[in-house]
Amino acid sequence: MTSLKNKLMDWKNRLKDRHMLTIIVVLLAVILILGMIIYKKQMEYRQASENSYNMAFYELVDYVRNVENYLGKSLISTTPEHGAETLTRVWREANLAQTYLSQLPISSNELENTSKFLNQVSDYSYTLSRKNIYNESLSEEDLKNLKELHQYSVELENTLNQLSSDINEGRIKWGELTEKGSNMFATQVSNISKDSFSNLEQNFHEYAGLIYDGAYSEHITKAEKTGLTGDDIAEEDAKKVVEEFVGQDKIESIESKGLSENTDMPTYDFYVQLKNAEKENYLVISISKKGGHIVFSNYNREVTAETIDMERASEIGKEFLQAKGYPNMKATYYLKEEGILTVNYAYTQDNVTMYPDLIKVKIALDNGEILGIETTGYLNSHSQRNLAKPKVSKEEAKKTLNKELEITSEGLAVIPTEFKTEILCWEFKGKVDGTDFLVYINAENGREEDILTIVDTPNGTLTM
Amino acid sequence: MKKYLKIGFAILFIIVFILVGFGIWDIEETGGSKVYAAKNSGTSDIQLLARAINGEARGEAYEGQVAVGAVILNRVKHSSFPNTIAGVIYEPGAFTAVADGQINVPIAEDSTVVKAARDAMNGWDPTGGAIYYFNPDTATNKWIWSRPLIKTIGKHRFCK
Repeated sequence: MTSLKNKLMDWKNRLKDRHMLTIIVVLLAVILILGMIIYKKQMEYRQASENSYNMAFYELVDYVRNVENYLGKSLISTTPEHGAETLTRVWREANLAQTYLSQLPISSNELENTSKFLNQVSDYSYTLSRKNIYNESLSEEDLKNLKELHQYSVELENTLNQLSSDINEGRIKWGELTEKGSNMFATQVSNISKDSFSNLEQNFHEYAGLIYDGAYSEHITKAEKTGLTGDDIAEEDAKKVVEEFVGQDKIESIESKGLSENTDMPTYDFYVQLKNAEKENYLVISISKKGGHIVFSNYNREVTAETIDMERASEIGKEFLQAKGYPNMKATYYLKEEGILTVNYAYTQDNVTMYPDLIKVKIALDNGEILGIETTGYLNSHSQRNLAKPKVSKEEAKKTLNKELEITSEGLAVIPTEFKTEILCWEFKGKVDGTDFLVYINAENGREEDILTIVDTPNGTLTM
Repeated sequence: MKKYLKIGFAILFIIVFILVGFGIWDIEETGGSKVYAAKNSGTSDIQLLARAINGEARGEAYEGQVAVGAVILNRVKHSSFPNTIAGVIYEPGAFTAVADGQINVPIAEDSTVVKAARDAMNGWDPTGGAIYYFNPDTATNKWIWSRPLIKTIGKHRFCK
């Protein structure tokens, strides 16, 4: 006790010294200046992010206003030409609105339905504008949907205007939304800010979503999987499928990971330890519960040498598929990376290429080992199709092609649309100015459905 | 006199210490942005995806890395999320690796995360269509537990 007192006295005496005082003052000044610099920098960063959030918000408000405006116009438009123009604008504005919405510092699950609404408005209006371009008029159903979407967009616009005035009057601060409340007060404030945004979501409580011919339509995920045939199997049966697929002689041990649920294709998952493989470097394989199909298998290893050329490898893949019960698969495009060739195979039926029925195979170019397979495309859509005889003959289809196109190959193909329907087309491969193209002409009505560019690189053939 | 010298040194030491500390802080704050720039536009998506996987699942087995890439791509296709890879990855609050700058850690061209990113791009999806995942040991968000679980891969739970 006394020693402490002595020390304090000693300290006090020393403080009286002039030099000591100077040193302490200088030290304090340095700390103060540093503190100010750090604080200023901090404020600059905060301001920068505040600014970008504000920009995203005001852009969102503008684009939603335009969506509302053009949707309103599309309702009373009577000519297909003007209808198409208006709907293309809705498509563009809604797409941009969605982009800016996702830049706001609010977690995606809280604005889930708002985002879905904007995506569907954008996608739906694109589909309708295509309808208009082909001179089909909009159906009663379409107009009803547009009217409903317009109603929602009006509500969304109103809520955004309310939020906008909240921001103007300083009731909402972006900083509070991004910071996790460290004390009671902070959490309370951010709740006020958060609540204002949940009003956005409230608008869409009743919104059921749309079913239409587009990528974000509600029916897409619920589409029937025609390739997923057979009855439900038990885990032991799935294990037998794995043993047979991988080959009993290659397997060191199999670890079962159980059934994965809550997915549109429940699977039994297994980790396979291969002989001669590093420990813990498993081959992962999933077997569908329905029918015991291979959904995917994947195995990663270093491939250093490349002794097999790409043609041979794609032949190996084809033979492999044949042996595993996938006959008539044709290699369509391929990609080589790090000594591994990934080949896309499409099913062919009576010389018609079925592009929806895709299987991808990974082949190691050092010893031709199959490293992976992925069959979801095939399982989703494979079936023996009843192909109608083309109404448009090949010669007629050719007439619609660009005159510059030097055709190198031609044939029939079924191509998928982005909303999971299929179109029978004449496929023409040809060259214009040294660039390869694939042109698809609808065999039913002669429409030009799609044009793909073929990019030949040293590492493979890609379509874009 | 000797005593003051000692104190003087001590204070000098403290000042230097603070300056160095400040310097490090400063470098960390700005250093992240220097490692952008993908090789060319065709592969930039793969590179971004690979860096996101690296930031989120560096310590995971290969399957866990493909899985994280697959979730990002599943989000791109999902109507409740942005429609581009960059949009999904940089959505505020979506990924911790973006918030803490882990995504900016440079990666080698032949790193396994690049292979994992390519497999995910080519359609391998070990998650069964998951759009969320979280680490149950570190997740602070209660809401995330309400998502229906599809499967667990490594440390992550993958959900619908």
